Amino acid sequence: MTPQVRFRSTVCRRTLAAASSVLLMALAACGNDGINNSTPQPPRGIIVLDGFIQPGLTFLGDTGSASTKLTLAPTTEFDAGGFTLLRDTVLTVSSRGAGDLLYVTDVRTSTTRRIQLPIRSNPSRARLLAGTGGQTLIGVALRDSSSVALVSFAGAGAATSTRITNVGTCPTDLFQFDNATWIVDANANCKVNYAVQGDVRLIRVPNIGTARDTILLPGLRGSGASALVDGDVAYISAGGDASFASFPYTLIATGGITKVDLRGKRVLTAKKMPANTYGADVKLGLDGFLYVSLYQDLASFTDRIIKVRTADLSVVTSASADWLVLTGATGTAVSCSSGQADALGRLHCIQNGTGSVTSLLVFSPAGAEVRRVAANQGGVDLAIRP
Amino acid sequence: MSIAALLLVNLIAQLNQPPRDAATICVTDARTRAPLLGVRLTVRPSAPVRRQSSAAARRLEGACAVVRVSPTDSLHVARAGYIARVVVGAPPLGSVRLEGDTLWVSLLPRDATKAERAAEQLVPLRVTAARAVARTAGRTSATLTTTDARIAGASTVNALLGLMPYTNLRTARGETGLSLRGARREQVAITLDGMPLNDPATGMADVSDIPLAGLRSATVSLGADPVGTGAGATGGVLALTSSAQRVASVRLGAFGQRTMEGAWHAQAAGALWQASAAWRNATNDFTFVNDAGAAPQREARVNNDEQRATASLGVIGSRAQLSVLGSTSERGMVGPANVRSYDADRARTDRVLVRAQAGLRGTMLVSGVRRLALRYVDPTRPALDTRAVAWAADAEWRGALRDIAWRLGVGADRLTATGGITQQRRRGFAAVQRAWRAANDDRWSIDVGARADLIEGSGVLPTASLGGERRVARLGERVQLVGFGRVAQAVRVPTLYDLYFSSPQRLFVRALSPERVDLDASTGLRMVAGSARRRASMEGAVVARNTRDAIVWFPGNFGWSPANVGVERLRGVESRAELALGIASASAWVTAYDAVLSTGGLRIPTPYVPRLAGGAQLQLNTAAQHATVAWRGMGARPYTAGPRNPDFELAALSLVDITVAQQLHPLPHWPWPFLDALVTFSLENAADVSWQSVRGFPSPGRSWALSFTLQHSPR
Repeated sequence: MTPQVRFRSTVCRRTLAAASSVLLMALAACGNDGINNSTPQPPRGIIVLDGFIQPGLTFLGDTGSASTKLTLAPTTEFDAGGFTLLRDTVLTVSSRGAGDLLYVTDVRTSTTRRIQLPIRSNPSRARLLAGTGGQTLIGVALRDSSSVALVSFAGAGAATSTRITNVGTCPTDLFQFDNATWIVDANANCKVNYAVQGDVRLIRVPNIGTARDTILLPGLRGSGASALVDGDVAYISAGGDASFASFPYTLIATGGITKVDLRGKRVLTAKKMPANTYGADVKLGLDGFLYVSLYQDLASFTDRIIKVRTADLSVVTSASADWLVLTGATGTAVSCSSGQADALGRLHCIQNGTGSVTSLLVFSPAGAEVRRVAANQGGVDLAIRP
Repeated sequence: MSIAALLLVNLIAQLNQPPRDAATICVTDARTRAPLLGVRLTVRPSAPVRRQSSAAARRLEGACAVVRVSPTDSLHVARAGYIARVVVGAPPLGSVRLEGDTLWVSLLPRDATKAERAAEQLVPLRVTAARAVARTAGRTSATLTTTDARIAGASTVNALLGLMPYTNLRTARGETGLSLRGARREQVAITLDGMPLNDPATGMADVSDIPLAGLRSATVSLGADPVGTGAGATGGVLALTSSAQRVASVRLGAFGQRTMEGAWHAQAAGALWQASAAWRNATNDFTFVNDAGAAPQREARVNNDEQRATASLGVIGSRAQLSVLGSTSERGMVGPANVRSYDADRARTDRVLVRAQAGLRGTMLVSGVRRLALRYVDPTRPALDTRAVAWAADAEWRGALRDIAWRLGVGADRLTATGGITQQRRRGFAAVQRAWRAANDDRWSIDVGARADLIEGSGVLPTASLGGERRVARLGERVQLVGFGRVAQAVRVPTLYDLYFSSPQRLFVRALSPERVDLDASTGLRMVAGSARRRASMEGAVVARNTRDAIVWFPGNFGWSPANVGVERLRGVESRAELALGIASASAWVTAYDAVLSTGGLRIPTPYVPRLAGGAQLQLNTAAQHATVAWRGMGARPYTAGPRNPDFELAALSLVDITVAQQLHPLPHWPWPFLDALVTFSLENAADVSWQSVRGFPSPGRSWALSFTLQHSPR
């Protein structure tokens, strides 16, 4: 496939940007580690995943209304509901309902390659892992085969794949930590109807040896469980349990977040989402808070965002609601999804309007809308490039 | 098998021995020009000296019948639902050449207005040797008979529609929908003898379910028809007419195609009984290049098979008429090209339609019941199995008050489906229409109508239409130029398809507003020239349609459901030309549409509507041999509900089908003089073009089909 993207910057601007980046990296390398200790800076940009209609990635700057679009899947099915961004690599997957495909995008070059995963394996999330020997290594949780695929390739070379098998009922996410691969098992019947079978589990598979550890995460339920790693702590989140077999839908359990000490292999604390809510899509804001996107209920499916402290998972509440109260330019209430704050504490999120037209919204730390810019159509996820 | 075929041939041959010294009488509906079945013809002598030429009363079994008649006879024509008519003596009967020409008699429906009755008395009976051209005032339409379609290689309704101008068929998973004038398939109303086939639950009718053997003709009419067809006919109408034929047909083709169908009719108990049945099977395991994976590879479609069985029964009496149509189909629910998750999924659809009509003191009562049952089975994930049953019942009363025709109707829909989904709604409507036309000739005609639908949950939805045409020039006896125009409004109430049937997955119910065509306007010129054997016609029209609250499907997670979008505007040109010279005839059509949705600041080209589309046919016909080359092409088609983007368009395509046909009847030693036998061989997609009518669902490449049709044809 040939990616279609247009750059508006000139060669001179690119050179200047590259030089600035090198300089900034050098400065960062000389300073203390962690962005929290630096002077907060605006983001380099925002990436929005257009998950349906015309799948692709929309790139936006921190200011202005200009955007560029990188087409992802013009000839094939595509149903990704999210993506991961690490070291300028965007990873996203299509499930069994859309061909079991992995999309690897290099944001710097705006090139994408499509890799076929095992047929009917029903991939969930892909993570960029630490490869060796110049190889790119990607781990993909395969829900319907109780395994994780480790896909590696060098440059434009052919991809090869190995598997970690028997990693739970429905592996949905993974990460590497301390010479081990950690797999999030949603413990749901993903092969059939995603019915929750029990609490989410975290399975540790060491790189060497066969001794595995399984950490139970009591009360955490949801077929779309995911992990977020910050230092030696992981935040495992799951959206809850609900029955969609009949209408109206019924909520069985709300979503939640569980904080896990990876070195101690133990649960530190857990937090349930507010009553009646469904979902728990967690992002780590560049301001150090967790931002949880969820639905207010199973009737209206109104998008809400909750701000959570990482230390004790307590909610930064507003005066009138469990979630952030966001107001538009005219003072009316605004709802949006896929929230994440930049280092300045400004919440970024997306909103799909009539015709699934997507807007990127930015709110001040006080919750007032300060920016609204078009971001193509069919937006399902967002990430801020620090 | 061969013995059974021989018995069938002999049985057909023994019936209806050939009349001699006869004339052909064809009876049509005066409004629609559609042929009428079950008409009672009685020839009575007006002069004692020609008594020997009279014949007993008989019922018209096909569209036409051959009766013995003389210029001094009177012909009594009667049928249920129509005003009886008497044709007396010369000149009408006297002008009929007994060996060649056809006398066309039109009957007015019982709800005819006073003006229509008066005008009909003034309209001369037509005596022609050629097929009539059906038209309605100001409306672009085209008709194709099944006989002509079979000669051109069609043995299914799908194939017949593919031969017709202005049509755009969209096929996926064995289901075929029809698009007219850039409309979505649920915006096209399909009727069989006026009976709506679109299911209120889905908004669609699968034309694959209708046996060709039971049909006489198909007419596509472009544009909204709020008064004649009613709610749902926002893009156009496909009107099918049934026929009492005696026909049997077998077809074999590539990819496991096997089709058998037949139709029969007989008189009993004072009524005409007609029946038809069809059975079709295909594996559809064609190969295609799958470019949806990591690298293109050649593979075969799997779980793409289909099996269909259809039966119909009709009883036409002098005072009442009953029609029953039932079908069942099972097909593999093959997924898009790179998706193997549906390789075991199956779908079964059962449909039953019953319709009755009877006259009541100068008015007509029509009632009907439709039932649709849909079952989706996923053997690998039984928890996802779904089932839905939809019912629709309608009753309509038609009549006329002085010069104004009126219609009143009530109906109700009900659907139950897996997942606790239950929906029902009641509806009613009232419509009035008045038509004028020039006295003595057909220089001009105008019709105006209005309709109000009252639908539970949607309120009152008024619509109106105005159409007219006028002869603007006449060049000699054989050339005339007609100007025409039509404006109409239409409404489509959200169907349950919009809420549920789009996917095997269970969807949440979203309240939608009715889709409103505020204006559907067309105007153009039509030129007709020539005689029966040498003729030429040409027409062109400019069209515009504005749709408010268009219901468009926007997939995506929990918002996976259609939505009302802002405004959809279509502007375009439609044109067609035909030329027949001796044994050769040629026809061509082209449409150019710019259809754009405007919503949320975006301009979205309507999915699957090509900017340019067209078709052409070249036919060579001798008495026994026929050859047809049919070409169909269309430009790039967007397939997403997003802004125009070449990355998300299906490529332009050009398809050629070639058919040769041989009629066996003219052969020297053909043993059954009253049976026509037709053998056709078709090469479809002769250039082996890879293409998709719906994105992700590849269509077959080059394929072949061989068919044999035996038809009783009294002479």
